[in-house]
Amino acid sequence: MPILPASHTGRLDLKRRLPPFVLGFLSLALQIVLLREFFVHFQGNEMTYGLLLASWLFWGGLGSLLAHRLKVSSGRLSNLFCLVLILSPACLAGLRLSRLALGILPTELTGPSAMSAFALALTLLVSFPLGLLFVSAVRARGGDAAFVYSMESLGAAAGGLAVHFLLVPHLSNWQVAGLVGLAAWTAVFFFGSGKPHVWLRAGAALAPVLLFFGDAPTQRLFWKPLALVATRDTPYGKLQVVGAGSEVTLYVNAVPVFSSGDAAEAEEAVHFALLQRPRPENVLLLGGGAGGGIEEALKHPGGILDYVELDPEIIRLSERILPPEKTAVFLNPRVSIHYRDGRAYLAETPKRYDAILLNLPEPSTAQLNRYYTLEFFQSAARRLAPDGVLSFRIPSSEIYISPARARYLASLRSTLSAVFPETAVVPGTSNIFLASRAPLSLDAEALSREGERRGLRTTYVRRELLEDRLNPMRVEFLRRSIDAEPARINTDLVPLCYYYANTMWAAHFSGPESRLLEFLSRAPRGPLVGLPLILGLLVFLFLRLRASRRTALLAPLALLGFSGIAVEVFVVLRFQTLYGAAYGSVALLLAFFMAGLGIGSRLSRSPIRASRKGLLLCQAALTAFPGLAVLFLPFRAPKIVLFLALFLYGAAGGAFFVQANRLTILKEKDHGTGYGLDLLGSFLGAAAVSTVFLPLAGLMPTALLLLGLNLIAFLFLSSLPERSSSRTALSRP
Amino acid sequence: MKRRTFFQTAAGAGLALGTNAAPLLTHLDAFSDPGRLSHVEARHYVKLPDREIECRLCPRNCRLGDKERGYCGVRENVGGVYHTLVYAKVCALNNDPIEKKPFFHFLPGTSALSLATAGCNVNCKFCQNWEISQVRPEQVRNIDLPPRDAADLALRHRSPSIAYTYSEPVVFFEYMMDTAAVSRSRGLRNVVVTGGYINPEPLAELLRAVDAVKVDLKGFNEKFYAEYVRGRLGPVLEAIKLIARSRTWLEIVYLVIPGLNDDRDEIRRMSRWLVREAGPDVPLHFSRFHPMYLMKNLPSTPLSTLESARSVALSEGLRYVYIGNVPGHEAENTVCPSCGRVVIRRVGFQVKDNELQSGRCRFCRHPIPGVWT
Repeated sequence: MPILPASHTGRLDLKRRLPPFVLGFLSLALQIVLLREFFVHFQGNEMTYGLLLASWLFWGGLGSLLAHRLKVSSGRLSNLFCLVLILSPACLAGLRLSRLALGILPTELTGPSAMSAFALALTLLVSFPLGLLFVSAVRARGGDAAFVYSMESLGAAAGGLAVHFLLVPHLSNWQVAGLVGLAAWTAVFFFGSGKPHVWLRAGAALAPVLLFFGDAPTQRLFWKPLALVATRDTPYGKLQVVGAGSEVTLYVNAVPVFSSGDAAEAEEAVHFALLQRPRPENVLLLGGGAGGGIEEALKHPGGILDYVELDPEIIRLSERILPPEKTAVFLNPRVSIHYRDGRAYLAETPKRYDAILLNLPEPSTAQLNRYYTLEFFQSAARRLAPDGVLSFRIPSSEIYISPARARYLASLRSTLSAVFPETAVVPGTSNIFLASRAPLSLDAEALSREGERRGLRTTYVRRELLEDRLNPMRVEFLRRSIDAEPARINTDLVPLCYYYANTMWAAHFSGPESRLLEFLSRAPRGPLVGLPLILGLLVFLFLRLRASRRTALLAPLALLGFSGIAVEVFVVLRFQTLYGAAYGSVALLLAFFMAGLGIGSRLSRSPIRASRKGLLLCQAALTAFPGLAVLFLPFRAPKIVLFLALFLYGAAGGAFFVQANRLTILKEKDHGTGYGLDLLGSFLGAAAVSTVFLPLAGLMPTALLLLGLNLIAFLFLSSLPERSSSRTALSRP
Repeated sequence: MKRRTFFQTAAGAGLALGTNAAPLLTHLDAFSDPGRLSHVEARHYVKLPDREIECRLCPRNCRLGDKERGYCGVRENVGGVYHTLVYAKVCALNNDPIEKKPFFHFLPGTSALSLATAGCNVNCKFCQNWEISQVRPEQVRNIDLPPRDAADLALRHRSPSIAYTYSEPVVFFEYMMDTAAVSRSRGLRNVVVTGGYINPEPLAELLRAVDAVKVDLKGFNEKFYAEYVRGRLGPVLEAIKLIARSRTWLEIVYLVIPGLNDDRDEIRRMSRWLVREAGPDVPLHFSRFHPMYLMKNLPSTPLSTLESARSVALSEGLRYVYIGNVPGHEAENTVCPSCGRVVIRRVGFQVKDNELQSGRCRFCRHPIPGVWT
């Protein structure tokens, strides 16, 4: 087994430390870029993230497990680095341009099956060689998997922070990948062991250049037959302005936010609510202002308007692309623009409003779902005047309400009703939800008369259309359609509507996945959580009775991966619901987790004997986290607690990883086994927890599930007979 | 069934009923429970050896073995006998202004009892009603509405016509034909809103039974039909020619989708073809595309594109060219081609003024083609 000589590159010992650090840095940076691009390409949500992450982890795990069979040696380290750098533009270009080959329109909806196929195909290109790279790096370190794991985790922590805070605010996704690739190439070239093949070296040097300069042309190609007018990557997403004829449409993450010539959505978002009260003096508009929301609200005489927008770039870009008469509203003295998270604004403002107009997309992501929960509605109710009105709109169908849609609408309505005594839903291709403590009206004549009294000049919300739309029978049948389905309340801890919205998305496609989502949406919560628990129990029982000691000690690594990813998602979701938009904070949270992993595994590498007791201690710490989550979930945890919790969980996980590896890795072929199992467990966690358990069962049952599984693992480990282990090459410092 | 029970049933089925609630509410007992799929023998098919059949209803001419369904998903070969599964199985029911279909030259200002079953024989990526058209009948909740009851409902609802619409009426051909026959015998008119993807023989039969047909012409090149509609343009054009030569009133809708079918030359060719094959008096509606179904993230159609399309069609000699889905636009009005005065003024789905007298312009007596009474 080749063991590297001690440092030749000075006190920092770069030759030893850099490859695994670069591996972690590159791996997480590429993962973030691919996630962002994938998210945009498929107009995604956390389920999309889950799918891509799961595929990424799957191939990484498989790469590690198969490395021995593929005869990956330490000498291939530099070649593998170059291969990853060459394949990363192929992966990104494949994602962006595949629609041309497949005859798919830009932004055309893609079903879960096709999306999974894409995710698997694309991540194979990059993640599989990264998995091989890990094993190669371990072998370059003489089999010291713990060291590589530790440095890789620290590299990942640094990569996450650098990408989010230094690169994304200034560069496009492709440029970020290009720059990171260039840095990795430099590191490998100057500090890596062994010279890569000349063609690989040249290819790897060319790849970042392609990424840097290929971004804009490929984006234009992507949008054909429409014309891409402008594009920006901001920390909040990808903004793209697309021209069609004389009008422009602004897309955020490939979802249209507004078209310059179409006022339908803005009119609906504003007027149904503002016409409810004779003099709406103080109005709060959350989102969609640049798309006409402000303009429509200002048509109502008098009063002031607070407009909350998360991404300042949306306003800046709008000022560039819209005619001056449309953007003049931003400077109107009646308007105050606040650049921040709407939920955080609402929680902190002392003002009281006559109307709060929620003008955001439907709750198709967990991030957006925060604006449709019981807690948000309660927060809105506190800031509303006694007869104030809250409104939002949800895409729907005018002629037919399917049971799945009815369930979704019913959940929204019952959540509103839990806070407001009066609710009303406007029928149509969009359903406008209205809520108040005072009576509401869906009388077409009364609303039309009020609109005419105020001299509103509107295209869609007008007498001639309202009479058909607000026909009492339509209103009544919509109400009864909604009533026909059982309603569950959407909360921060059980973000149901996010799942229902995804069921509606899956219903666009006739594959089995839409039926599965539909089936699960009806499933009771008990079995949803109970079955995996029983399954986990059976697996550990089987292992206890049949498996070798080595296998038994490695198996919990899969659970570590599963729990690790679940805990990450869990904390991020909780952080978002408590503290508003957490884009930067998400990176920071994950960096704390990775840093914990790195430091935990580093500390656990001390040359003392690895023991089952040490493993048990780590498992106890891993079990404590969901236990504490169960206890403290109902309370508002301070930010620092969440950061520390992730760090400590990461540290316990890192220590566990090293202990398990030290107890089991005796042969060269085992170098990738632990890492592979960890990633495969993470794959399962990403696929199941973020997409099904958290939205359907909620945070508390998911914490209980994690607690149960980890308790079983603890009992399992403590039931194994104690046997001293020999120090292996792994423990060599 | 008690009225309350019906409400629960119909609400579960997601049905929405439109205007004039009172008469409807008092006669809802006519409905029966939502039931199983129908097994009424279909028309327009041929039996083949080995219990195979070939459907001859639409240009797909599906050849099916036992227990197989056609492309539409609502017609099934049961032991060598072809069945329609959606006879009287209604999943969407409204009372809509006829302008909403849109028909602008057919009984303006009236309502039409509008109904649909599940299923469609094409698969447009921009379908407005995909939740009923792109599914099988067992995936939606249906109520039984036999032809006689449909006619009853329309009469009690004071709707002078029944519209077969929303999904694709061709796939519920048998139900449509029987309902049209019953309702015509009771003084009602029948209108069909279709993609026009139907074989000549059943179409000829249909034209004898109904009073007006609106064809959605989705584009004017075969590539567009193949890629975005999953059908062929040729049979649709043949259908339009056949309807234009019949005594049944014809209107055409062209949904303009930015970047996909808004090319001025294509619209010019389409307009010329219409003038030649259907005559200059056929009303043509350029409708604004609102993002839907698989294309829900495309931009909606710019107004200037619609106006440009309209000016091309007018310049090619079509006399009645409208813009749809843009309420309040002047191109919603019917203008007398002789004196240039507005003879029917519309906003949205409402007729504000009707200056026609016996089908003629009140100002210059020029005849305006259509079915006005």
